[in-house]
Amino acid sequence: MGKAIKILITILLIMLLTPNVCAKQEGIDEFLNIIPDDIEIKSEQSLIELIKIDKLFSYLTASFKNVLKSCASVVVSLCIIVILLSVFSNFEKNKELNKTIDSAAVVVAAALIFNAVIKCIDVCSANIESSSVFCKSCIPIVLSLCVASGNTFSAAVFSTTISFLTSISQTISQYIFIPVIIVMFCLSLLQNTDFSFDFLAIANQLKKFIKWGIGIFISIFSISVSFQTFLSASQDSFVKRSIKSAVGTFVPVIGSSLSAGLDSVFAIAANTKNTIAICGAIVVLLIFLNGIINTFVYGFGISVVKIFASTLGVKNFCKSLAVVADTFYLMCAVVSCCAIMTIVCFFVVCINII
Amino acid sequence: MIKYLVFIVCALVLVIVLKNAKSPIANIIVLPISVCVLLLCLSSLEPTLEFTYLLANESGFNNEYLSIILKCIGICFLCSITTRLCTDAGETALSHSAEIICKINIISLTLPIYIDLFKWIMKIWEKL
Repeated sequence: MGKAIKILITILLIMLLTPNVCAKQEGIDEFLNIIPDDIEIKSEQSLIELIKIDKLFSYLTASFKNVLKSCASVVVSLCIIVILLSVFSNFEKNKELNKTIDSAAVVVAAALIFNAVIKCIDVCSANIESSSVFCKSCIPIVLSLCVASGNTFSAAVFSTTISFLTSISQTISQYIFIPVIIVMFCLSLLQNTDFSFDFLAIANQLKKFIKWGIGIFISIFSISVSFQTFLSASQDSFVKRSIKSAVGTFVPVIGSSLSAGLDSVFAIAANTKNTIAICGAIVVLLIFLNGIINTFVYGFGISVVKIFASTLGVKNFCKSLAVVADTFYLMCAVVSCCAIMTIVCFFVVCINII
Repeated sequence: MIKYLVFIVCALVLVIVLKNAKSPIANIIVLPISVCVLLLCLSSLEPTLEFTYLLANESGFNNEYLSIILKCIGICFLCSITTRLCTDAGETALSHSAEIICKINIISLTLPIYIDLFKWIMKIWEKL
């Protein structure tokens, strides 16, 4: 396919996207916090009220629409830069001049993308914070239900795990992963300067570090939680049997009937606890969905521009766009990692799957 | 477009004739001809630029940034013509000087964006 046809296709894409971009965009602040700071979960009913599907669904669709609009704006702007670069590189074969114009284009592109990066970091941090507020507010009711259903050790494991998770996920994501991602983004800017040093190689190493870091972190967490849950489940069954035998032996006349009735009491409490766990997992998923959507949409949009850039032969710009797209995908991975760990916490510890 | 090409071919014939006559103005005459062609091309570029600005406005592309990138491309085109003229005249040192001037100009044009980026990066670090 001729380069002219490729440029024409890119212009058509831009023209298709622009009508959606023209519409006024809502402020990002209203899409940051899904969970209010003063939340208090007293019963199963209050948790079910929190996940009113129509309210949350409209919130997520509004957020998605807003992200799509701003992403389309970034995509169109980057496509214009790609076309200008492609036209210039087609006419001008002087390598030095091409390099200079590439570096100028990368700086302009970075300035266009930077707002999106800041927005995604804000959304991710707000999601992690909302999740920790929600998890902490869930601890009292889950603890009381765990104790009522005879799972005293599970209650201890849940409260410890949630406290550990909320502090560690906030610390690791905000002080290790996100700074490393920003460094990666800055390295992609430096790549197109006149230095002969290969900055993208360092960026790729950092990408590997984050990937392995997330993998190792999630594996250690899941294995340790599963092991603790396995141990606490066996302890809990022993405690339940001891309570039943104590009631049957020491309470005169009605002891045996009470002992048989205890099973139903435990079952009712366990049922309520399971409902809370499922609702909690859904809320956690919805909290993180906003951040996942934000980062993924931007990553995907920039990947599309990258494909156009590689088709039009703008190689240097394409390399930088690849790193920028990876920046968004890695942010998405960090948020997904936190989401998975919190959901694992709710499912494995509360429902005692293992 | 045909009139520009005809003009260039006529200019080429003139230069060849002057070179064959060993006239000293043979090399010098190329310079005004190149500038004239460039100016003629610029007028035909106007609709394309207007379309680019229209697309940029519709998409919310910052006009300031678009102007910067268009200025950079313009500087590079001018520099390219200058370096080729210098190379044709056998003055490689002048050609390199033109390239350096072009780079310095582009850096000074993009410097405000570099400063903005630096400020934004500092803002992110402060947030963390």
